[in-house]
Amino acid sequence: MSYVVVIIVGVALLFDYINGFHDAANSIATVVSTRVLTPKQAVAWAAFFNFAAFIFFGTKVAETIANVTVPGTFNNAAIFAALIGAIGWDLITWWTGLPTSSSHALVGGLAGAAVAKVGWSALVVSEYQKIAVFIVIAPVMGFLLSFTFMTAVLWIFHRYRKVDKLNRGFRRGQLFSAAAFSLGHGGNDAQKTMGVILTVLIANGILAKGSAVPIWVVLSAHLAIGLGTLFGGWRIVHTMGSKITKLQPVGGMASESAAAIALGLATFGGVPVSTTHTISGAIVGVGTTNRLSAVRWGVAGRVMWAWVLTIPGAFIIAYVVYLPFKAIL
Amino acid sequence: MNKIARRTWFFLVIVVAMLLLYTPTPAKYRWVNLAMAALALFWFILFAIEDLSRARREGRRMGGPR
Repeated sequence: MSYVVVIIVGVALLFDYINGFHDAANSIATVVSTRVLTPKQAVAWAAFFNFAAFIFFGTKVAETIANVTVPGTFNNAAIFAALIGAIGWDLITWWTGLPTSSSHALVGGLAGAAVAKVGWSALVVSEYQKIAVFIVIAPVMGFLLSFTFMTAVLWIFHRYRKVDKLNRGFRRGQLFSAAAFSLGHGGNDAQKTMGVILTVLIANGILAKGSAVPIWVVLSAHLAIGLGTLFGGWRIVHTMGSKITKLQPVGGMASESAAAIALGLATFGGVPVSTTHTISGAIVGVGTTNRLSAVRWGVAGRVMWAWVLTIPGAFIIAYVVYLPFKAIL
Repeated sequence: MNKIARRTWFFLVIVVAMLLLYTPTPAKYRWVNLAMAALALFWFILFAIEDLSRARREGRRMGGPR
């Protein structure tokens, strides 16, 4: 394996680490904000399930990432630029505390590098159309399912007088919903990095075309995302867990369960949705059961803008990075 | 019009948005648009009935007992 391949695989694992770091908020924000677990316990809980996800999921999601550009588009320099574009955008949004999708950052990075190398003809327009449409649909799915779930729970228990006992039950329930969501996050997002590493290994002739993902790639990708989650970014936890709306244990459980159900349904139906967008919509859904003004729409609007700008942002960074590196790598 | 709360209209906006996105959504995934539009329509109708009946009750109360 040449040193260039080792560097690119290392950068891919760094992206995976930052993905865990950036998206840790998705699975632990509600558990932390409702004080079911301390921040340290919550990240350890999420990191464990992020890593354990390799037991439950296959490697099919990796194909989505491989299909966003015309086959044969990528060489080492283009993959490197794509990863730097995605990492760059993730770090910018982490710094500003915005919960954006790492998957969309990767897709934007891949597009930027592909256009810089080959031109606009390298992009598969239908794949981008699908991703763009689901920027709107994914949070709506999270919103409607969590609103429905929360309203049902409130309706079922509205005559129940033992509030302390009920809260204890919801707090326990939140542990399971956070674990389910972390499994989904680890299973989905680690596979995207696996897809990138697989592309690098095939492009450099280390693996034959059509090879399965080697076990060391699977384990290292899950380890990287698990470690990233363990050192998670608190800025985004704050935005997700308390800035959008105030959450009680019942709301935390409802939003996580609804998001986990939405992700499960989407995966079952082969729909490409962002975990970040789904849980953000679910948190807004819980806030709306109270009243519309319980949601801080200014914060929610800022988050939506960051979603729209993710693909163009990562695209521009990757495009610019590719130009100097095409001669080096 | 103001008898119906903002939250209720919000669900109607979601119905319209999901239907507008029906054509650009790939055929394989259009069931999601329809399912979400149906769920949002359900909540719109339910909240609209609640808002209107509340407005009618309040209207009667404002009229006062004879």
